[in-house]
Amino acid sequence: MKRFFLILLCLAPTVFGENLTSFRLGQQLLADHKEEMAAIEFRRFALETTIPEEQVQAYIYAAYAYIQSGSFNDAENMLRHAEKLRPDNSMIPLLYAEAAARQKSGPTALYFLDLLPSQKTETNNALAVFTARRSAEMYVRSGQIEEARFKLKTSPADESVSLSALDAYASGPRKSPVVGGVLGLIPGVGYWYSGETANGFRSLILNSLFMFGMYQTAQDERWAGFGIISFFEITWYTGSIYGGIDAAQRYNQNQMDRCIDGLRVPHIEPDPEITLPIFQIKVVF
Amino acid sequence: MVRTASRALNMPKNMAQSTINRISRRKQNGILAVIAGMLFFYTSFAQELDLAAQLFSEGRWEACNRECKRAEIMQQGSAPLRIQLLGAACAIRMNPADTDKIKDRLTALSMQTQDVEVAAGASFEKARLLWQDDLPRQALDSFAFTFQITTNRQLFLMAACSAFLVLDKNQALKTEYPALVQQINTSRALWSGELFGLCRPKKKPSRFQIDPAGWFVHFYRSQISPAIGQRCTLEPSCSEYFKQATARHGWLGVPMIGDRFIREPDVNKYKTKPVLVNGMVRYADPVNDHDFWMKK
Repeated sequence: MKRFFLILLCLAPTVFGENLTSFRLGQQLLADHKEEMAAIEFRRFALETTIPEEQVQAYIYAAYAYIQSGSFNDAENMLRHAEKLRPDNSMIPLLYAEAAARQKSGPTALYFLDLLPSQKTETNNALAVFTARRSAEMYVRSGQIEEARFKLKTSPADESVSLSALDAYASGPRKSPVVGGVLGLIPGVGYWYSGETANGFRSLILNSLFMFGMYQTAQDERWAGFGIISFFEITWYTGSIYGGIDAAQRYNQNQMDRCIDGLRVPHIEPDPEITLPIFQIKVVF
Repeated sequence: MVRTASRALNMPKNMAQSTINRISRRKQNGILAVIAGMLFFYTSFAQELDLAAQLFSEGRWEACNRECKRAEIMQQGSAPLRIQLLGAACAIRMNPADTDKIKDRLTALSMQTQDVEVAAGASFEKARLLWQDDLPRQALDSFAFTFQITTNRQLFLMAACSAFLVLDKNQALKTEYPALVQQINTSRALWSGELFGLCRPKKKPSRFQIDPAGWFVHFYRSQISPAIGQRCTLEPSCSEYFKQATARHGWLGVPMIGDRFIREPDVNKYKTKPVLVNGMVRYADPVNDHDFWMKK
């Protein structure tokens, strides 16, 4: 592998375009987490160079930078450019999958992850682990626990920790947002249902005080005061119902996040040691 | 088409053909967006502005403006007029509220005689600004200028259609410009609904639009907040959260802010997601964290 890069390095001025300034600047900006600017430099390089292979790599780099910056549509645009030049580049489905996964579009991400090559090499092994865990994550997000378990079992690495996190999630309790909302009709109870005790007490106390204020002002026929207190009470009361629903949703989301953390999905990045326009992936565990 | 383009751009036929090929390739790639008055840029820009033109079509005004500045620097001060025009067009879109300086730049560009298409484009952009500023007579003059000098079909039609819309709103002007009305009408058969959509100026948001949540937040920020000081320890602040919540979900913003007031001490206690805002530590609690489960 090292020999291959050494040869590549020697041939760099002939194999690759001579002016790599934009590309290098893009890499530097990417390292500095200025992804949008990095993407523009990569695009500039893609327009500057006349070598199709360099253009493909530059577009892939730009797509990666856009994914990092959260501009997923632009990333897909860049990948389409690259796809037109080299439809068989394996990084393209990987980055399409990554863009879809970041947008939490499970089926699309899974479709592209399935397209990734499965030959057994050192890099591909790490990539296979990444694919298995990322696919499992997508399945967990869409509530398909069995499929997630199946995917984890295809991973070449030891997945006992991931599987136990998945089991814990599968057998763990869930909260129903409907029940949370209905219980929220009694101020505070909706929060208590999802285990947010302090929030529940606060809601109960605030609602009680303002309801008492409404009662008192109505009894004394102080209607201006009654109006003002009612205005606030409506906020607290509807907030209690909404809070019951939201707390249940948050509870379920936290459980899912914990499970996904347990899956230990690695992240991918271009190998920083490669200074030529080659998008060599590095899987970081 | 090649002949028209070669005549319009004053270039040989083979160059025009390659330009057309480039445009159709971009069209296929889905990056070419028809943006009012600027289409002709794509047909005639030098290679160094390819990226700027792409960024313009993607609506990245700031990045496009930066590219234009870079091109200007690389040209060592004597920047081609088209770069200047594209830069001005970006500046208008970046900061639509402050266009006075840009108007001067556009006036200068529209008065130069080296590049007729740039003069036409600058005049068109200026006309749109004048129209937005409710100066119909001046706008009409600029549209008429564009209409009369451009050889670009799209710009020609857009100038005609825009002038028609100005005249339609200001019937009194019709009697003052009988010849122009007659000329404009000759191109009417080529106008499409899409063209009308492109030419119609965007309405400025009314100062008095019905937005009770906005009024409430404005009242709080201008009358109450200065007296009690910044009390919210979350990011975005509670008033901003309410504004965002009502903008997204209407009246549902009321229970959402009620829920936030109840949760605020808990967020502070657990100190999750700390962020630095103006040198002060706050805790992130965006609307997204509380409406992710709603159907968008």
